[in-house]
Amino acid sequence: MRELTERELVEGCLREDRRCQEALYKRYARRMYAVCLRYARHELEAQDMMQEGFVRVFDKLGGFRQDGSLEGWVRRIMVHTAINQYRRKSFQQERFGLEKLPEDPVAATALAELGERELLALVAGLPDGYRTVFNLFAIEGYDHAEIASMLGCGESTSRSQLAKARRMLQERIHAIHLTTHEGKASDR
Amino acid sequence: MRERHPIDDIFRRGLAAAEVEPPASVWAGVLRQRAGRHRLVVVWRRFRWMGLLALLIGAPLLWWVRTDAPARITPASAQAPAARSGSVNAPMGASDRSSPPAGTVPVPAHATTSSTPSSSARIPDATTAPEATTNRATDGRSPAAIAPDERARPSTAPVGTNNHFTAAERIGHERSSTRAQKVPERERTSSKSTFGGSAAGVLWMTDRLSVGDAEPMTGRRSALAHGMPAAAPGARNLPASYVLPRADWWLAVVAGRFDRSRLWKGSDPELVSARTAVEGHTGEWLWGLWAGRRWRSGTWFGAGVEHTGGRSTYERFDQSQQVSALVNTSIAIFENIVLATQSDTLFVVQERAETTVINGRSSTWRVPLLLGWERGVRRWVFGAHLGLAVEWQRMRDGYLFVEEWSEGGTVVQRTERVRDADRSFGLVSAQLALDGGFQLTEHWRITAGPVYQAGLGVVIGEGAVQALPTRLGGQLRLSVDLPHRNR
Repeated sequence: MRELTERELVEGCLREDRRCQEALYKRYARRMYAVCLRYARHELEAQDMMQEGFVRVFDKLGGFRQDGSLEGWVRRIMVHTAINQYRRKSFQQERFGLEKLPEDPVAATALAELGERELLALVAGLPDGYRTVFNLFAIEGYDHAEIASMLGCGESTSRSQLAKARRMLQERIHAIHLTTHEGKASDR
Repeated sequence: MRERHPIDDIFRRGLAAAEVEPPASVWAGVLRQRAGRHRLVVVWRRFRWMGLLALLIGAPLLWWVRTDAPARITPASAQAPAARSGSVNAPMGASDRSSPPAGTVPVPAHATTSSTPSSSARIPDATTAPEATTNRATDGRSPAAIAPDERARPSTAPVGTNNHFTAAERIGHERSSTRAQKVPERERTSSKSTFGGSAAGVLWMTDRLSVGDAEPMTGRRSALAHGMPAAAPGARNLPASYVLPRADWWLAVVAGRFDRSRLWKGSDPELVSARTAVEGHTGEWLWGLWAGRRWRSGTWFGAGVEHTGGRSTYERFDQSQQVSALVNTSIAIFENIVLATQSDTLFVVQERAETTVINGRSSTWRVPLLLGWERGVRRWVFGAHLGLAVEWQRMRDGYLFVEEWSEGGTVVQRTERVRDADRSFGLVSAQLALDGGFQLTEHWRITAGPVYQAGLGVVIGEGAVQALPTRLGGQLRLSVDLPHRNR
């Protein structure tokens, strides 16, 4: 059975064809779930985010102009769903000092061997504000002006949160290195 | 310039194309959430008009039935504490508010307390000798005028009657009872007033109005107007017969959205058929200003100026053939003798496909004359109105699609720009509408409802082509009652 094209998928979904909707979901679910995991604090929140995001995708599919990539469009909706969820919460993480950051245990794996799960765990360990800014800047590729308008904060806030997120990730990666080396030394 | 950082690269490489299998419950949740929303949308789309109609008809009907219900006599035991609560300083009609529900008539307190006195009213202390004083107190004298010996004199009245009150209580009781008897109808219906009873509002009205422009409020009509706040603090100083104006002038801003279709008529059948072929339903916005006068009976009239405008695009795909005949004749002549002739005809068929997009913008000025009727229930107002309007319709811009057949059978499509002067005409239309409104403040009101308008006939500018519109839509208006002039 041939794979449906994006256009066929969209048209089927607009006709409320259940099979097309499921096909669209299955095609993008894995990638979008990874996106949601990056923005969420834990898996349950990511699942809620993904459910809400896909409901919005199906609701707004009529507005998708088929001149771009459907995946990019779905991803944007997921990111905006995550941002909306984040904006509902206050921007209190801005006031967090590094000393007060929650300490999440990170798997002792060599940096080179860090897989998706470990990287996701590192990102998930960031406070909400840092995580959102880091995701938007480092992975989605938005600049600070765009992030500031999306999150409703100042550009300087976005910059400082990104810097703190990077520093925190660096510290954690460094700690992973140390743990790994110590482990290797004790093996000898 | 974008900052680059090695940490960003590590995460971008690792996570940009990351894939994680989501649990199956997510898809089930999406289906569940969409099914619920979809069901609501379907129900809303299918039944919205019926629901709105039921609300517009049912709510006034319910109110009508409730206010027309016969007055119930409240049991005496329920009345007694209420009547007694009206002490000397209690405002007039306090008993009216404290116990009877809407639609009941207060029973005179003395008739009820005499048979079933409340235990809270009894004075167990014998020194107060209540029985001695109460008989005298009813003769109209003040407590101070009653002699101390009279107060102390034991009564012969049997225990268990209203003689268990002290003099002061008795006087207060009697006063409140008398007041309860004299509570005019306007006060009894005040709980159904449009405005819920604002003492300041009534005082303001009585202060500013002259009797010549007013009539006393009685009966059900008072329910439409500003109600007398029977139990409002300070209301005891209100004049006994307060007055309200017979009618109010009002001003309203109107906005609406309509679905419009047009019936084309005229002396040029080609244009009429062309217009009919390409024009369908289109959306139209309406803005306007109304003014009018509203009487206490609920009848109102209004007139105003409205402007509606619509933009429509029609797309038409046409296929045609262009046939050309080429005749090639050969003649062989030898010494002026025609030896042979040959004639070849070559037909060239050209297929043509053309999409014609026709844009049309039209605007209409309307001057409606309206007659309406409404009823109020608390702050809600329900009614209907109908009217006639003179309309001046103008096609502001547009193209007509015209098909032409040439002699050789060639089909020619032609679009023709329409000029304003060509397509302006006046007509008369009728309109019918239902109104549901809410009194925002004492003077401001917002009203909405479905409206149907239909063109009746062209009166000015009968020419090649005219259109009679039919509109169905919703209208929203914000109105304000204008202040009265002091005379």
